[in-house]
Amino acid sequence: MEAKAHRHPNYVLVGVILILLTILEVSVLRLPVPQLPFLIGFAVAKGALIVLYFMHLKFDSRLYALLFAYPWPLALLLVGMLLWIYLGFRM
Amino acid sequence: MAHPPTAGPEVAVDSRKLGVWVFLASEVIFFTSLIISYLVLHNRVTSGPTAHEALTLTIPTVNTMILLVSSVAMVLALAHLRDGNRRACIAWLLTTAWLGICFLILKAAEYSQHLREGLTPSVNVFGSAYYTVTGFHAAHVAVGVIWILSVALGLRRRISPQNDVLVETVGLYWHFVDLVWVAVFMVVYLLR
Repeated sequence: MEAKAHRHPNYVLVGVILILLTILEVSVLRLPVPQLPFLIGFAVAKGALIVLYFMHLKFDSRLYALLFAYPWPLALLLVGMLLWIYLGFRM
Repeated sequence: MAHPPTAGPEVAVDSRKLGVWVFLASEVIFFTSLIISYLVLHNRVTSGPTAHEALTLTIPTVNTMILLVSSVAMVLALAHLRDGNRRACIAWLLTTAWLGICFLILKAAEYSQHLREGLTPSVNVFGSAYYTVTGFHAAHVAVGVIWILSVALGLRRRISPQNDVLVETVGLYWHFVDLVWVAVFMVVYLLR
């Protein structure tokens, strides 16, 4: 059958990895280690798996990736501006 | 026709998918603004409950698992449709919608618990920021559930392996909602 020729990534495995990362994320709160780098690392890894495999950016046209990437520098600028305002208020 | 997962500009661009990606790009800015506002405001509490006092991890962690599993269900719906199995596709779409409803029920239970304990949207700046961020996310989940149900039930006759963009676009939206929750879960609940 022609339809059987489709090859898909192992989505269930990706889901299992995402759940394991969530368990690690929650567990790290109980460990005597600096939490912020771990929490950011786990969240970025989870986000990357979702975007690359579930949203298919790894396999789809690069135009979609470009479109999705362009607001992130603006978002970082926003972060910088808001933090600047916040620090300004605290000074 | 086989669709091996190869990356590159040679993959066809669909205008409807393009529209959804543009919309999602605007949503990145929207949710970044909300999350950063929360980060700036949540620890400026002078009276009433703080994030550390009011928030617990149990319901949000279960909700995280629910959304992650729903994303797997959503992507399996698309995979089954592309394999020509329409019935399995609709079953996975309905599973996704059901998991979304479970998320909303648990969110409502969490809000109810907060309100009983005195954390209202107007009690302090943390309350306002918390309900704004999580409320907008929950509203996006609700829209996603309605969209998935409309694709699975109302428009099921139009779904076919050749016309999978209906499922793919709602899938993109749903995974984005999951992506936002990953950020909200970390910022609001884990960094509390």
